[in-house]
Amino acid sequence: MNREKIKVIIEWTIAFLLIFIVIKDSPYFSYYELSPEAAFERSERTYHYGPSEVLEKVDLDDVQIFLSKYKNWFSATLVNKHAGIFWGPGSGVGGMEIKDDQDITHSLGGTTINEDYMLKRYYGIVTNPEINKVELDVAEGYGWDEQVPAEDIVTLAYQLKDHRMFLFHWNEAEDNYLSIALRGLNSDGEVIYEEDLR
Amino acid sequence: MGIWIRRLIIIGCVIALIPNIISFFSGLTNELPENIKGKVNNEDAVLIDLDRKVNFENDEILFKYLVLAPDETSLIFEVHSNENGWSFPGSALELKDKQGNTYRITSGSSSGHTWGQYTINNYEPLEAGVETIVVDFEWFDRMFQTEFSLDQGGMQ
Repeated sequence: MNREKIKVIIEWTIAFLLIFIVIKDSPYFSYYELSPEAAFERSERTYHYGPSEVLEKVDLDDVQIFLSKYKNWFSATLVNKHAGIFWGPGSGVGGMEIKDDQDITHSLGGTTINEDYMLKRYYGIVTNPEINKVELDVAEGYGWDEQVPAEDIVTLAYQLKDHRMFLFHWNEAEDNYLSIALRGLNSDGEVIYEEDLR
Repeated sequence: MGIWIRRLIIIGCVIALIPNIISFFSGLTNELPENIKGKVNNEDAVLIDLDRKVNFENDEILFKYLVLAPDETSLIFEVHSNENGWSFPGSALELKDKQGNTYRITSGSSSGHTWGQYTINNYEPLEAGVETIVVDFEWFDRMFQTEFSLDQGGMQ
């Protein structure tokens, strides 16, 4: 082997070593995941929370919402799609404490997914076993201090499942909802919990 | 032909790694911020070397210095992460002493590096006569505590 050949081999070795380092260092290798579940797990692990039990997954194409519970905390954690095939951690990781002395513990979140999509979430967990349906009154286009006439109130309903969490979500870029009231109904349709949200 | 392909690869990769190279060298000479160094040099503040590593799940928290000044106490630490994701919630670190005082965090600053983050947490000034300071971390169901004696090099 002559000197020229050795030089070629060394240069190619350096080139491949550098390619390896660049790929390993890139976020596609070290941050993004190929499945939403793996992104959710990474999100909780690096946040030092969980691992949660996933109660329900809501798939909204570019974003997925994981309704989940860990010990006495509940969360609605987002994972975001990136570049068509990758998934990365999104907002809402880290839970809110379930208040056992309340019928319903709830929280809200808003995240800009893209310029046409502002994902608003109203979510919570129901402790009172009598409640089997949750309703959220909203009205479009009102400020928080404005009077809303009854005919403009829209009621969103969520039938509870065994896991007892609920989620209302909408795109604020399309529906600029003001949340007005949250209700819990029993199996006879009677309101047994009501909370003014304004 | 081959010579240009491999050299282009090498040059391209080195350019892509420039942030890492800069971060590597700036990490080697991780000096105190100028304002704190000034205070220590003017003897307005006392610098205590902590130099202790706490392994917390996938993060290594390296406690570097405690700076005691009449108007505030600064805790300086690095976090080296073994997994990319959320950064370590440094603002959840509380300072306590053995007399039962808890010192509130008043401000903080953090700079990101490719190896992790360099953070300064500022707290209320310590009470007189404190000999041991406890760094207390509580986050959901996770917690750790580490104690530092203030009676060491630099203390008069």
